[in-house]
Amino acid sequence: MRADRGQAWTLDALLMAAVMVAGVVYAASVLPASTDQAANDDEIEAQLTQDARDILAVALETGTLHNATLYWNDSAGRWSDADATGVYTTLPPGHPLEPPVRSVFTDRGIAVNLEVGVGTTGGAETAHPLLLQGAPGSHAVSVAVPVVLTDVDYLSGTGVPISLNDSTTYFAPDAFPESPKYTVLRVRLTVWRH
Amino acid sequence: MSGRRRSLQDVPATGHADRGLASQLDFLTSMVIRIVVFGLLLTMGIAILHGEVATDLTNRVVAERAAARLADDLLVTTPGDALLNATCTRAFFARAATTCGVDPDWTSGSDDYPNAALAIDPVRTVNVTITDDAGAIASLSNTRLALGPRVPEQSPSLRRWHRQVALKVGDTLEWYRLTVTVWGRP
Repeated sequence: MRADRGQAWTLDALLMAAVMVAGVVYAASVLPASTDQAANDDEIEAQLTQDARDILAVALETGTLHNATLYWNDSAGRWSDADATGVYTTLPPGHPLEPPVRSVFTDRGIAVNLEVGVGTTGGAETAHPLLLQGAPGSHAVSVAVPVVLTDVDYLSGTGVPISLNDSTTYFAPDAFPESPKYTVLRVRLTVWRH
Repeated sequence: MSGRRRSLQDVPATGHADRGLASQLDFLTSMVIRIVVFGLLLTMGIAILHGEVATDLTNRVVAERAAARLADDLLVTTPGDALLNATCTRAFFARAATTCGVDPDWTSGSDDYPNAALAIDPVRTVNVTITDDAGAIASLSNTRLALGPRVPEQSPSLRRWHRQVALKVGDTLEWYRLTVTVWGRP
């Protein structure tokens, strides 16, 4: 009887030891993969955010972003060289933002959406799409900067240059009729991996 | 007075209840010990693995900060500018002291360059490059914009950080990519 009990306890101890070792091995094999994957995803998103911030910061400082918001064909009533939808799916050669968007994002398989926000009375904002390459994925990152337009700015691109004040089709109205300032747009850049 | 002599058979069977209680306490104690040991083993395993991940994350933070120090301070005219200054950029890669913020003590002749300039501890190795659209190392006035040892093909602690930068060349805006690569660990 005592021998039977001893054998039972021994088997019990061996079984529990096997369960504990199996548990540790399983945790050791699963945990680093999930930790590394999560860290890797965070790093990719952080790098994309940095890239988007850098592009907008340089474009803002050099006037490239300002020119991009004025790349408008007044006679056609849409962005210059855009198709009938009025929205780019790829920025055309000659567009102020084409070089950085292509080399930093498109050529690396990263999708881009560019939208220009126009403030409305009441504080709301209407997004006017400039470039749309799809619906942002769950890991998309977004950065926005303000761009100030003045009454003496000229619409560029194809067609005869025309001042903002004389435009009849520009999507943003004069928000400050009594001042030289025309409006403040918010340019939002959203990027994500396909 | 009749009766038989009391024998052990007449002793109440309280021994079974005691043994049952002892068995339960024994089981409880052994389960507690097993759970504690299991938890300790798991925690030790996590600590060993987490240590590896933490070091790699540290190199990433180091690379990110070094890139910020370059793109936002050492290579621009005024800290916070978005455009690179050609003179400052060339001077950094040529190890020439300038007024752009590079301390003369950090430059030529110092084995700690560019670690000292980028506030990176000497046990880590750093490589800095500026590349063009095609991925080729850029040049400014015959100065190759690359600094540091060759990046190893494989290193578990290797981490990179990029910044998109630009230089005005005449009226043209030239876009580049600044890359800081850090590997090695204390």
